[in-house]
Amino acid sequence: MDNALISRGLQRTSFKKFLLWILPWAGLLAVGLYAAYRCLAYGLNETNMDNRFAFGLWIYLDLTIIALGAGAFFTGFLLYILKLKELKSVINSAVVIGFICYSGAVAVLMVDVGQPLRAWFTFWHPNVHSMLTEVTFCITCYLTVLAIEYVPVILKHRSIRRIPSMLVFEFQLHKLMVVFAAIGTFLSFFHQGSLGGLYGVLIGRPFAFRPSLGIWPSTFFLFILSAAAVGPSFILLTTWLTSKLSRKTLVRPEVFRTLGKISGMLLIGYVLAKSIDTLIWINSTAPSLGYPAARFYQYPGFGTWVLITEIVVCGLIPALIFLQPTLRQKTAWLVTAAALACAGIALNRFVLTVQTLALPTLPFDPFMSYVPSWQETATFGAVLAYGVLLYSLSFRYLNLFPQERDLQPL
Amino acid sequence: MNLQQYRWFLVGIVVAAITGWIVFPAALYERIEQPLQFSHNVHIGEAVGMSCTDCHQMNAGERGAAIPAVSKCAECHSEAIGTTEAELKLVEDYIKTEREIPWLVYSQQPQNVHFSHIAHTGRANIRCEECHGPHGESESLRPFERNRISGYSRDIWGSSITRVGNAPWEGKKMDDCADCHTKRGVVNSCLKCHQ
Amino acid sequence: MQTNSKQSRYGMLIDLDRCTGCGACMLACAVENNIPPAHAGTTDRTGLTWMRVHRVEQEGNDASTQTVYLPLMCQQCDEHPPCESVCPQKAVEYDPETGIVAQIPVRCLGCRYCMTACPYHARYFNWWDPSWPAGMEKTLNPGVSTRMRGVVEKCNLCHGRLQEAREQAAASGTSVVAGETFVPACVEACPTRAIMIGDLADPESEIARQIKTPGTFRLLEQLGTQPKVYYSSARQWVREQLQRTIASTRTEVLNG
Repeated sequence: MDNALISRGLQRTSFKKFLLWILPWAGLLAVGLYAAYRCLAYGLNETNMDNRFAFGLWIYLDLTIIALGAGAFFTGFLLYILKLKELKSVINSAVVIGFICYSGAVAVLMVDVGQPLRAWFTFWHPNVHSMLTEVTFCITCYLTVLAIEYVPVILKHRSIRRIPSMLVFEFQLHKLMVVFAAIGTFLSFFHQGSLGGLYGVLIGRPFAFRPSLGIWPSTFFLFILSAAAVGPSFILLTTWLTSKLSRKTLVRPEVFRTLGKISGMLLIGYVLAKSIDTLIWINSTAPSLGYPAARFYQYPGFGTWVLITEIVVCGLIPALIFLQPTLRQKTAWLVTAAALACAGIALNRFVLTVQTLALPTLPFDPFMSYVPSWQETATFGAVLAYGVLLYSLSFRYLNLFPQERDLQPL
Repeated sequence: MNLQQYRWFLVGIVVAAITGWIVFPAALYERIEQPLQFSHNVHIGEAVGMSCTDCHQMNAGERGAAIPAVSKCAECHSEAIGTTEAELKLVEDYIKTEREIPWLVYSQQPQNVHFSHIAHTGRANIRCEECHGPHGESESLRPFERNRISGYSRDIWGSSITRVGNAPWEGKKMDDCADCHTKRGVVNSCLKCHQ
Repeated sequence: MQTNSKQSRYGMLIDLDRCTGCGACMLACAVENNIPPAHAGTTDRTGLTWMRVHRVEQEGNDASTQTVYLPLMCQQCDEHPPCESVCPQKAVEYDPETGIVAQIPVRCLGCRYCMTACPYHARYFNWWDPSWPAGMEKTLNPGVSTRMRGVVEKCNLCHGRLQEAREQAAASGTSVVAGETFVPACVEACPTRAIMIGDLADPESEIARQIKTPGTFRLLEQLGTQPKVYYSSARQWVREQLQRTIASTRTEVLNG
């Protein structure tokens, strides 16, 4: 039915089957959009956030998907700047995932703030001392860069290539990609970092506060490193998942190994840095603010197992799998390690956003929990659905994996 | 360069400029007549010889415009002085019925502004004319121009939409206040003027 | 007592031994600052309580358990308040002239980052549209602007009253605010006179003398936030318990 729109030489499932796949996701998106509308129309009382839990599920979602979306900038950096040609086979997919993650995050932020129409104030009256200013500037700029990087992927579509001027435009744009990759890398370094700095600067939250290295708290650097480490893992994971769901070989196995190796090397560096940071925090930062670190872990559900899971189970173990050449040969191991690494980053962002706020600061404060309302959860689901839909459409109609055509069985 | 080729482009520029600089500003403000005509000039002139503060009293606690109450008018106008239409309206409609005149205040600030006349006239010794220009010598009250979007008076922005060539007393935007404060060495913190 | 407004550092001293937990300060604060009546569905975690009286019970299993009531508002952190530096659009301001930390509602985006930054939980978000029953809007204080849904607000030491005091000073041709003319609503309302306001920068002021007496402390002093609200108690357990970090006392809040 839509064969004329599918790239030549690519096999795609029937339109009917595709429709069946996207329908539930479209339903989820619709419910989520309704929930978001309620929040915008009736106010944030639609959420279960409160004066203590001023940040909730949405900020957690933002931090996590932006970390996972880091694959876009890091793959671009490796391919265009460090000339790692092998990654050409996943760069299109990485750009689409990056675009999904960042646009999703910005969309949710617009629902999360109380007065979305005042968002431009940050650009007009910026407080240069605020990490959030840095985040806002970099994310909006980088989202623009991602949109520009997405354009050539769309322009390669066969229906657009028929227009000669578009062909020229695409060719010229492609030549500029290295510039955008460089800008994207620069912007990403800063906002991944400042997202970490967001919590590291909170002197009033001894659980999150970290001393400064230069002008940024240590979480600034940990976030850059962890995002760069987990970005390739997420690309690996999504490529594998797409491959399984579409029953196609999309990239050569070496690509998986390369992604895994890059992830592994960065992850081991991150685990090391995170461990040092944690030790300094336990032994110096937290006690100097009057909070013995052990006190933070005395509450049910939030024991030290969180810390161990984050650093060892979801950090050290996947790193070792990635770096072990024999295990790296097997896709199952690579995928397991990538999933663990992604879970680790999600846990790290959870700890920073949720545990920080749950912990008491005043001597008579209780430990507080918070359960998101259906409106918050549905909005969360809408971002997920939006991502799946945009990626599915891109996979079906655009050429996300250049190697796919050559890898098809004859 | 062939002008013919750019004809529509130039037309577009002209249309956009006219819309932006003339049509939009004109459409933005609605003109409303004051409920009553009043001549400042008659009152400050030689025959009467009053000063601004005779009617506009600026004490601590007096908020905003210091517009005199109708009882102030009644001190002299308990009976009509003269036969003008406005005079009769003042006496019949307002003074005798003890109704306040719903003046539209040209310099009215938004609700989140705390403006104290006494701090400016009493403490800083600023003359009325420095902010209000020749308003005190006006023969009649010009129509009040209300911004259709914000509801604010045009005097807040000033008569020129570009804000170029405005007289020193024109414009009562936050930046105008802040500029004068900076010149006079007053700390420009938000709470200085906002409430 | 006269203070020079040019270098003021307004602060408070709250005598916890005098506080009976009556809540008059909370009420006076709400009336003074145009806090709308709580919307249906408001909980003690979503209300607008610039001033909030916490009940703290003595820890330990002693039979003669004692209670202390602790009025808590914005602690007016000095120099670099944690909330001020985090705001992306300068909606939080530290007034160098008075030391008052101000929240500017019309500039606020409602991102709530300042709320996560405040260790005293003294910042409140407008989860609902503010509304007043018909006719009640006539009781609003014209010296304090009302806020809208989706912005953060908090105590600013009744800044509207400071502006009035300044006007009074201007009327007599001075910029020096006499101490007795600036009295926040909670200070005025407290029946036991547990709350004192004054200029900490003026060594002659009563408060500057009082905060040096033994038994005076600040909350979370070790964080380095330099709050300008002081507390005092002659009871040792009160001082010890309130200066400790993370405890597990049961907390109840009056009418949140």
